[in-house]
Amino acid sequence: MALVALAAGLILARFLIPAEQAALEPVNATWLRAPRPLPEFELLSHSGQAFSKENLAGNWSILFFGFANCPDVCPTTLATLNRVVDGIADQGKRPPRVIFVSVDPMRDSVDKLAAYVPYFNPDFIGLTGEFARIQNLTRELGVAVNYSPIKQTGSGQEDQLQNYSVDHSTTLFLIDPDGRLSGIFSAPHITEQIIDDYLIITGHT
Amino acid sequence: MRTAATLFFLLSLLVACARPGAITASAAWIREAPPGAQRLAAYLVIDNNLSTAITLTGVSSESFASVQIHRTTMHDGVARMRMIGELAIGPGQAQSLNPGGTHLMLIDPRADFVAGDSVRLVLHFADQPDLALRVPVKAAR
Repeated sequence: MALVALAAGLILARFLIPAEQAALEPVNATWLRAPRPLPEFELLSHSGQAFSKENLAGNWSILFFGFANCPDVCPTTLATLNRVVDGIADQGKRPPRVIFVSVDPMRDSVDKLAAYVPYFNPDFIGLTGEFARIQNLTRELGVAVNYSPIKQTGSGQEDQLQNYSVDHSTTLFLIDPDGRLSGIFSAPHITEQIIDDYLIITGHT
Repeated sequence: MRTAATLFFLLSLLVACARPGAITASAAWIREAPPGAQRLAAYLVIDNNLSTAITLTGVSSESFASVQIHRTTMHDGVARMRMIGELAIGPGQAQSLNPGGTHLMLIDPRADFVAGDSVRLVLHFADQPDLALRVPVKAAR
């Protein structure tokens, strides 16, 4: 009897909660209702300009950590983010700035990122800098970074030094216009899901 | 009538089994590399139509310094890309090499390949003849 009452109550509740209110929760992303300020950081953008936390002010941003010599996951994710930005603009909404932070500054120079990042979208921003400075961000955001050598036969020592892969988090971080972490998108990254959740989270503020 | 249909079905099955070139590759493509990237990925489906298991032991190409078989795996949201020495495919099985999974990593291109180009890859198998294919370069962004 109690079960029947509970079931009836649940069914009734579904009708009583207005549809818009029910739709205000992100479906796949994590929304931080108490956004967390990012630490101060000082990096270089792919145009060679200093880029710090202050440069995040005034825009929603999506941060993604990766490296240019990543042939599989990084281009797939950046291509997805390009479709996300287009999809949001198509709905007449202001898209986020997409910021690609290198976790491989030894190989990812400013010049390299200047060639790499705008390939996906001319508005995307690439950041690099001293590894210790990048770590200020990765540590705070819980981005795992691990270097792993790639075996190569018949190559010299110099090639071996250049030949490594970087294990890295594929998480996307949504930063609000005050430089605070407001949302987390975990893989797998599905264009439509990111668009929907982005609009829901940014619509709250 | 039904007997004839069954017979036809069985016959066509026999023909399919006896088809030469029992290892086939399809849906192959190479992701166009952004400028400056020295690592590219190739994706394809390898069908083993043989009655025995096969092993892809390596891939070569004149267009790259080397080609390796790699697998991306996810652990708690962290992507790891590792070289795998070889890839076994059971009899009658297919192996899909897709973005975010197993792929061929193409190292140090000898030229800047752009969408519309095609690249020759040669797949090497244990105890089976090589399989050469021309793979188109496609932009995916």
